[in-house]
Amino acid sequence: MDNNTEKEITPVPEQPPAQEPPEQKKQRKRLPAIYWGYLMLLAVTLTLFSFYALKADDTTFSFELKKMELPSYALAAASGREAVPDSAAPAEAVAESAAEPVEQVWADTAAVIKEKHYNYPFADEPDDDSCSVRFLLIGDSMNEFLRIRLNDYCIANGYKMHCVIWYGSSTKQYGTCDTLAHFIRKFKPTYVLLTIGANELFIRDIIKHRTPYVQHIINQIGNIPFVWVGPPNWKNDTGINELILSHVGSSRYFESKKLSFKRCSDGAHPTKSSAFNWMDEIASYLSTSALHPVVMNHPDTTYNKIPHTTILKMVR
Amino acid sequence: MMDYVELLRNLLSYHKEAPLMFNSPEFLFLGILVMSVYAAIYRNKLSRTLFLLAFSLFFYYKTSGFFVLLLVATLVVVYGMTRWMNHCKGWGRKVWLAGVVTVVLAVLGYFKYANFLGENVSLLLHLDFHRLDIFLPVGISFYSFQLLSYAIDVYRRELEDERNFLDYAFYITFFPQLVAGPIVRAKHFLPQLKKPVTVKRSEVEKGFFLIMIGLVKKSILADYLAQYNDLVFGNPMAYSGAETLMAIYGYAIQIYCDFSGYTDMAIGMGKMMGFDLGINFNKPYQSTSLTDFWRRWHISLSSWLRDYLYIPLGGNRKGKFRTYLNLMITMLLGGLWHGANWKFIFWGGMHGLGLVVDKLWRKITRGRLEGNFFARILGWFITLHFVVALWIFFRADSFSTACLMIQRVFTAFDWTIVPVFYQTRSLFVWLLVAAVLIHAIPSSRFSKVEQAYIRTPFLVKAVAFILLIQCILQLHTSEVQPFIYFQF
Repeated sequence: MDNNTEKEITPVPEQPPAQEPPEQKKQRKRLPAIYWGYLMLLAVTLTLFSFYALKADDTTFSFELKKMELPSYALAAASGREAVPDSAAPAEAVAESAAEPVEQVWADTAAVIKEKHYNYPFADEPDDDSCSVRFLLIGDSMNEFLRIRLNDYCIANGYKMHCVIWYGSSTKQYGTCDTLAHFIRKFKPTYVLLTIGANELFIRDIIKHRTPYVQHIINQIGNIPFVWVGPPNWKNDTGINELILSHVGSSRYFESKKLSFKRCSDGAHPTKSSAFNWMDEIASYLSTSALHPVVMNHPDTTYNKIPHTTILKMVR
Repeated sequence: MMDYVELLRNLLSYHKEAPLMFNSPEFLFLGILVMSVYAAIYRNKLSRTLFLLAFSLFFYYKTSGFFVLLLVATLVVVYGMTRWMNHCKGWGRKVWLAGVVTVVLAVLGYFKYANFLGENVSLLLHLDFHRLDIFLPVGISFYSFQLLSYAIDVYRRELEDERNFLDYAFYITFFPQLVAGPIVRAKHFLPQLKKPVTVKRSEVEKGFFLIMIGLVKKSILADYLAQYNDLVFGNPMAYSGAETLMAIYGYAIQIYCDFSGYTDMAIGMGKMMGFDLGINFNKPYQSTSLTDFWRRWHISLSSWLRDYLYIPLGGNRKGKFRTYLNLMITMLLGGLWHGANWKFIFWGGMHGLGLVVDKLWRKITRGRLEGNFFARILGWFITLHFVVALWIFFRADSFSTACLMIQRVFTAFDWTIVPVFYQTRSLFVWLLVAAVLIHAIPSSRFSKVEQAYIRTPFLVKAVAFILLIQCILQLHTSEVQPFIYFQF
C-alpha cells in the first residue's frame, strides 16, 4: 500500500450550500418546461402503443405494424382472462374475449368437423424402415427448443435432421406458398415433422378460414411419411386441433394439447425442460403409435446442440 | 373488465423469467411514475433521497427478487465497518478494511465463484462435486466494486466516511447504475448529493437524447445483430468462413452497442434527474493501441482496476518485470470479474499479454512512431483485430467452438457466398454499417448532433421518439433480450 494512505487530513464538516443569486434560486425552484414535455411524451407513447397492442385488428396499414409486447399479466388483465396468448398472436387471442366463449366455438366447430371426410394422395401403408431417417422439423417458434431435443435423438440413433423455423407463422403462411415444398426438395427428408398451429388457436370460423391452407400443406408433403405435432395449448382453442386431426388422422397427429407444460414468461412457449419432455413424448409416439414408426431410442444425455436450422421471418 | 388489483399485484411482484429492464414496457410505465413523483419532490433533499432509494430497491427487487435483502445487508455491514474503521488509527484501520474486503469478496465469491471453484478443485483432487443451485444476483459484481472503492477511499482518507446513511445507501443503489454500471466512485457522486439538485433544460435534453441513442444501440443494433450472431456461434459448422467472419465482426459491434447502449440510458436517466454518472465508453474501436483501448472501453471498470489493484500492486514503480506481472495479474482478475469461467480468465490473460507487448513495443520504439500516420493506421488495425479475435473466446460456449470458428474463417472462406449473404441478410449488413458509422463519428461532431437535437422543435422530437419505438418493435425478436452485462 502506498505511504500516503496513512496521512491525516482534517475532517471537513458538511458545508451548507453557498448562497445562490436570487435569479438562480428562482430558476432552480421550478423544473424546466421541457421536463414536463418529455413526461407527457412518454405517457402519450405508452398509451398509444398499449392501446395498439390491445387492438384486435393488425392490418391497419398495408404492411404489418408490429405491436408492443405488453407483459402477459397486463394482457390477461386487460382482456379479463387467466391465461396469456402467444407473443406472435396477441391480436387473435385478445379478440376471442370479446364475443362468444371459446368453448362454444370449439364445440360447434368439432361437430361440423366430425361429418367431414378428406382424401389425400399420401401413402397409407405402414413403413417400418427407419435405418436412415432424415427428419425435416418445420413450423413455427415452438421448434426453438424442440429442435435441440430432436437433435439429441438424431445423434443417439444415427439420424440426420434439418429444422426450419418461421417465426409467427401459421397454416395461413405455409398454406399460401410453396415454402414447405421448397424445403422438401432442398433437404430431401425421409420424414417430415410439422409444428404449425400455435399461432391460430383462437381463429373464428376456422373450418372456412383454414381448411384450404391445411389441404395445401398436406398436398405439398406428398408421399413422404409425416407427423403433424399439434400446438401446446395454453387455453382452449376454437378447433385448430380437430381440424388438423380430421385431415391427417390420429396416426399422423400428435395431440400436444393433452400434455401439461411449464411455460416461458410469455405464457405460451414451453420452457426448455418442458419442451424437452414434449419432444420425449413425441418420440415415444413416433416409435409406437405413428403410422410410419421410427426407432427413437432415448438419448442418454442432452448434447444441447442446435441442429442445422433455417430461420424465416414474416414478410408481407 | 380490467382486474386492477391483479394487475398491480403483478406489477409490484418479481418475475424471475422477466426481470425488469430499461427497454421493457413495464419500465416505461414505472419511469413515468417515478419521473412525475420526482418532479414534485426533487427540491426537498430528504424526500428525494428517500423516494429514489425506495424506488432503486424496488427496481432491484424486480430484477433479482429477494436478493434485494442481500444488497441491503451487505451495504449496511460495509457502512458500519467503514465507520468503525474511520474511528481507528494504524493497524486498526487495516484490520477493519481487511474485514470489509473479506465480507464483500466472500459474498461475491459465494454467489459467483463457488461452483467454479468447487468444480476445479474436485477436478484436481478427483472428488465428486455436485453443482450448488446458486442464483447469481443481478449486478452483484458492480455494486461489490462500488462498496470496495468506497471503503478503500475512506481508508486512504481520500474521502470522508459518509455520516448520512441515506446518502450512502442512495449512492450504492441509485437504480440507473445499480445492475450494470457504470461503477461510479463515491468521491464523484456523494458530493453531488450535498448540493441542491439543479435540473437544467440542456441537461434534460441531453439526457433524453442519450436515452434515445442508447435505445438505438441496444434495442435496434445489438438485438438485431444478436439474432444472426447467436445462430453462428451456436453452430459454427453450419456456416462458411465468410458467414462466420460476419458473425465475429457482428458480435464485436453487438457487445459494444449492448453495453454502451445500457450505459447511455443510465447516464441519460441520471442527467434527467440532475445527476452526473461520468462516462463509460469513448469510441473504443478507434483505439490505436491496446493501452488506448482500455482507456476507452468500460472506463469505470478499467480505472477501478488501475486504482484499486494495479497501483496498489506496485504499478510501474517497481521495475519492468513487476510492471508486466502487475499488468497480467490485473487483467487476469479483470477477466475473472466478468464471469466464473476459464474462457474469461483466458480472455483477460490475453489482454494482459497484449498490454505487456504494447508496453514493450513502446519501449523499443521510444514513442517515435506515435505521430506517424501509417503507424497509427497499422496500430488501429492490429488493435481492432486483436480485440475482435478475443471477443470470440468471450462469446463462444467453449474454447473448442472459438477455435473452430477461427479455423473456419481461414479454411472455409467462400467468396461466392458474399453476394448471397448480402441478398439474404442485407439488413444485418446495413445495420452493421450503421453501427460502424455511429461509432466513427468524432466526439466534436457528436456534440454538434446533440446541439442540433436540442434546437429541433419538440413536436419533431416527439415524432422521432415514437418512430424510434416503432422501429424497435419492427426489428425485435420474440422477447426483450437481456443486457449482456447483466450476467456479470
